[in-house]
Amino acid sequence: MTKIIEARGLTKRYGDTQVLRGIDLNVEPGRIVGLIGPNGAGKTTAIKAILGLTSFDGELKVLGKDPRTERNQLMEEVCFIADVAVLPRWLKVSQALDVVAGVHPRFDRRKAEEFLSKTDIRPDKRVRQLSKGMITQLHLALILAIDAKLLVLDEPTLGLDLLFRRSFYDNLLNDYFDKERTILVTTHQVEEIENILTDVIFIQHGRITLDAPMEGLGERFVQLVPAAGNVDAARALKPFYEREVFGRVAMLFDGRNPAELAALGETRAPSVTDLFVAMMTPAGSAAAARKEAA
Amino acid sequence: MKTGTNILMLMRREVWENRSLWIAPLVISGIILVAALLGGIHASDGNFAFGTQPSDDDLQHLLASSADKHEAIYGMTIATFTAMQLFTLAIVVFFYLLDSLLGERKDRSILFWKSLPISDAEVVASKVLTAVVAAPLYVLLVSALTQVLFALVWSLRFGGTTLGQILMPWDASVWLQVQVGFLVLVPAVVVWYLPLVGYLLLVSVWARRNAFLWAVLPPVAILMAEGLLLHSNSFAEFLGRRFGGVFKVMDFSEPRSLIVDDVLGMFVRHVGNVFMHPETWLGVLAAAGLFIAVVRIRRYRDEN
Repeated sequence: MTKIIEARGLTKRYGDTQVLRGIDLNVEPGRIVGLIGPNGAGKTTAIKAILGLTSFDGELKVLGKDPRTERNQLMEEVCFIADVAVLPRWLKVSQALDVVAGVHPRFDRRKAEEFLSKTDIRPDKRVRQLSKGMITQLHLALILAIDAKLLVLDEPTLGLDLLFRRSFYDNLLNDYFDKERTILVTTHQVEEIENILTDVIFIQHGRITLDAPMEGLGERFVQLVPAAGNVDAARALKPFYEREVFGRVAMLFDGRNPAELAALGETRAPSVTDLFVAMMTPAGSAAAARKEAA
Repeated sequence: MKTGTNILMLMRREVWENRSLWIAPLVISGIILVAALLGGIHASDGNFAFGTQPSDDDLQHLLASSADKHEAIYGMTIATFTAMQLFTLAIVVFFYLLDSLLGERKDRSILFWKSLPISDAEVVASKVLTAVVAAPLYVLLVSALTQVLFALVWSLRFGGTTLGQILMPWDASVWLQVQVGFLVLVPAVVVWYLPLVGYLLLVSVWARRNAFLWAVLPPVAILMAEGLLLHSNSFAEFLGRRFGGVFKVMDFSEPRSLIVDDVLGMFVRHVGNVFMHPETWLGVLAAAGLFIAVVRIRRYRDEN
């Protein structure tokens, strides 16, 4: 099966600023990949390169096509929601359906209408009359009705309240996702999507610092809260991150034998949020970079 | 095939978004019809306009004049209506083009359009075709229908009066000739102004704000710089030629009368000069270059 996204040495600079410093990516079909990083890490630039919205250096194939030269064909099989605010404000709901139906060969208008009928969105309303949450629902309705191979979401729930955010991801999983489809999602609200991801990629300062399937995370990374006398022994095993909570020390280990660690105290699998925080701090990210380089 | 349907769809989008394109001609029509219903008539020697009530002398004079002259007056009247419409359209289209590729970046909707399988060339083509084909055709249609309504209004208003015997509210043959005349004139003028269309789109795709200033200030700056530094005005001459030149090329300068056997044929021959003139096609070439530049720039234009 062809890879959905394949990148080798993807680089991008804006003037003096190196935004992407040689990124390698492999995204297989049927995955939900979270591209996670702090603001300014290069998430959006990477996404723009994948969508053919920016020029770049290096090799990049999306669905086997070069986004720089084959963008139009690519957009028949790739959908994206860049931000909640991008639907034109003068557009009526019915016109939005007309437009997408008019230009998109893979759009199923009936499906979009069915989705909309379950919401409060009326066809004669203009986008400017809708709330932010409703605009997202409308955009989602359009996207869900497109039979695309790759869906790219760049901070899709920014500025939405919790109820809309939750139902957004629920709809995405229930009505859209299947083994044929692939979703690439960026966010800095890690905790919100970590339960739905199959793969997680951390990006920081234009480099990828972690690229791993979720199922392997629990074996590779262990969080240890050592028992009172074992702190120094645990430190000797070189945790890549350490923090103090309520007077106790929590340490994160990468690639240590879980049994060895369990002997020193309480262990558990860290959440993606824990890992994110650990790896984005200077000490943690340096350790991660050494690990990736090795 | 797909390109064609995409462009038509995108042109529908232009009409939805830019309602002034189709509302403005209706407003002008409304003004013409209200004026026809309520306005005073000023008629003196061959000239004819909305104004004060005509004197009896004027009326007698007109009544005595030939049928040809009546036809000519009628033709001039309805041609003036269409000219007013086209003049208004030129202003509306000017601002439409200036905003057409800036607006989508200002409201960030460009990312929505770019998420659809449509090319930059299709988007730019839809805007050009809306401005130079759809809008002018629509205006000519509205104007033609307005003239029919005008006939109705005037027949009702002046039917059975002395003025009614003189003022011709309707003449099918003249009406048709005027429509055909404009159908020939408008493409010639549009082709001549294509480089201006390209220039406005270039400003629109390039500017981050204040497209109007960006469109107007560079030419003004060049004019002033040339005047101050070189004490010449060749750029002004160039601009004058690009704006007014089309009517010089048509060359209506020879003595003419509206009362000739074949007004339309004469008119078409003059307008035809435009298509024979090399300057027209140099302009088209320049416009093509500008359109290509606009498409290229839009490709990566949403970067900030």
